[in-house]
Amino acid sequence: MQNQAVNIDTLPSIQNLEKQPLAQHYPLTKLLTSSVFFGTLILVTLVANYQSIIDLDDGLRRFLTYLPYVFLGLGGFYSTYQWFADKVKAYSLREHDISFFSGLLFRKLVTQPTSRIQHVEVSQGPIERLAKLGNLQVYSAGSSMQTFTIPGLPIDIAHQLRQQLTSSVNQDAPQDPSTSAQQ
Amino acid sequence: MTDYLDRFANWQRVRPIGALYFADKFIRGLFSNFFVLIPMFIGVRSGFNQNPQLGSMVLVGIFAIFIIFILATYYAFQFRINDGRIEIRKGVLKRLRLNVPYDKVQDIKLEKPFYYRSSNMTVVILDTAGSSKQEATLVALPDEDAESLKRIVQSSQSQESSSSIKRSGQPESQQANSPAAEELINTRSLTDLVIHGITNNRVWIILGALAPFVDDAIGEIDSWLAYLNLSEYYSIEQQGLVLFTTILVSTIIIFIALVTGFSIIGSIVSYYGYSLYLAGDRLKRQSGLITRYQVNLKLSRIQHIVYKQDWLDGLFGRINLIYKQINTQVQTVDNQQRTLLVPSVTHVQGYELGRTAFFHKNPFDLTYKPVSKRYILQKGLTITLPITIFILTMTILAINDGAPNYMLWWLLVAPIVQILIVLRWYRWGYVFDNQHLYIRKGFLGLSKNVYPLFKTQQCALKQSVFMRRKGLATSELKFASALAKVPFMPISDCHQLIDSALFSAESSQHSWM
Repeated sequence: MQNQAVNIDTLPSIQNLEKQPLAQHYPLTKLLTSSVFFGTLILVTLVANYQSIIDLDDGLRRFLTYLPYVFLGLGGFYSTYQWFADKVKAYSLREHDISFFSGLLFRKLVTQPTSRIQHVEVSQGPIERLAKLGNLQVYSAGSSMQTFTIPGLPIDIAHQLRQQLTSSVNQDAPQDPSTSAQQ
Repeated sequence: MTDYLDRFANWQRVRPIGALYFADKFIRGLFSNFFVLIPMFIGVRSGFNQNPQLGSMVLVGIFAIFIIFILATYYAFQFRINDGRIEIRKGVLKRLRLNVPYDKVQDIKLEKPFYYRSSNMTVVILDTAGSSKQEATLVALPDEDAESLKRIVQSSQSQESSSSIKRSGQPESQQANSPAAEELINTRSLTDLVIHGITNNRVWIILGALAPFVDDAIGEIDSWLAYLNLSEYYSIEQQGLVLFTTILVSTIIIFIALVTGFSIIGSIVSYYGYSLYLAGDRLKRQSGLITRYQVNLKLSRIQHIVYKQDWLDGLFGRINLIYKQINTQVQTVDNQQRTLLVPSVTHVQGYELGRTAFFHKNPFDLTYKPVSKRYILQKGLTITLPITIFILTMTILAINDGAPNYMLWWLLVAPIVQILIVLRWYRWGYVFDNQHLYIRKGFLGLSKNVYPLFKTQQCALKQSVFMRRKGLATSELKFASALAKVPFMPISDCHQLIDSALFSAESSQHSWM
């Protein structure tokens, strides 16, 4: 049996991860999604304010006059922040793990060893389906918080990654009967 | 063994005494929803007052429904043990069929509630690491059958694991396939349990049992207090300052004595006859005064160890050792099922027991690195400052409205919060090598947590703009049992810790469970 000492300094480091960008049109898609959301809110308040079917009292009407501006401000701030935050998101795939970079003011780097993956999924919302984007969801053991998602991947890359991870799960953890990679 | 399997191969019901188990579960279920019952109780009582005849009929009706429900649940429950699996059909309104292969059983627990004491029946609980709904319970099996089922399931687990996994740091002889000889590694005497009751608040066990009577008890106490005319006792004007202080202090002492007394009783009820065995690759715990609990835990399932010392434990020089298991998505009510606790052991005993789970350094001998003082600043700005502003605003508004000036005492909350933050910072320490992460933390109490790095599920590095400027970062290693977080550590340490954890998790050939 061999049991050689490992020098921590010589280990592969997360400092040298190679960042892979998400789909180029991902920030634009997110911008579109949030615009649709806030646009709908503004439209609803405008319709509520200018309709004459239901009689509203003055206080409520005055409130409804200001509300679209509040939504416009919130939407503008959120979308701008989201735009720049989406631009810094990236992922990195190594032989034995996958990482996800995110955060503008609060940077975050999450790394998931493939040998600890329980299963991998690709999900798509309606707008994402139109934009041919997919979210890669990786589940590990423990509570549901221990899941991480890489959003905004071109759908074919998302499926490729899922397949790649699924096969690495089976290779990396042949000894663990409880680990199963599902689709 | 074959005889045993054959006997249970066909669908069958448990012995009639099993109905008691369903009654017990039903009553517990009702009382855990105690507040929901209050309106019903009031309804029945007022109905009873207005029309005693109708009221009693309603009561009889409710009782009849209860009996019918229990019987229906009993008849609906069927099981069979066949072909390496345990199958259960249950549920009256919603039928449920469980199919549990032996090798999917995480834990097998045997319980002997007090109403089974006179019979030779045992409850067998098979934990499958899924949701609590998937927990399979065989409500009444004869003692000897329960024991042999346990052995069969455990031996099938051992075969499954030993064919592929060798546990770290243990000689091969301890990884036997067949049920190994049990070695008693710890017992707790009555003195230990009394100490445990004093140092750890176990009042909730008693409160849980008394919950049904709380409503009436409060009413009784209320009328009794009114009769005593307490406002005279607790009045400075009538009693004078010295007597007032004496009465107040003695009241507090009586209260503390009562709570401590109940806590000691709670501790004895839970842990009476505590004995911990090491049987091959698993730990077995037996304890309980009224219901005898038996918890089995495979050593490789332990995700991390906690040496926990509440502030009173420090005075007695005791700690509680906790073996932490996988924390599943659904939190079960009985947390004792997920963790195995050894109450109030000494440091030496604790470390010896801790090492049965996996080899590690003595966490009491280590020098821990502190987290950055910026932690205090950050928490001060995000917690204490908003609290101060809120209290200050409210107090000024109240005093302007004519509230007495002593409202200003509320402002003391802010420094107390800040002191707790400083204490938290002072306690928080970490040290790691390429095998383990040791974290010390707490407010008033202190806990030392040992995490084997190869069991890491996921790593995260977090850094705000301000932390980046100061070269600090927060590391979060996720384990199946809990999150191991070290805030405000130097970025170089953070990188090193995460790199070691990833290397251990990715290169280790040991199973994490």
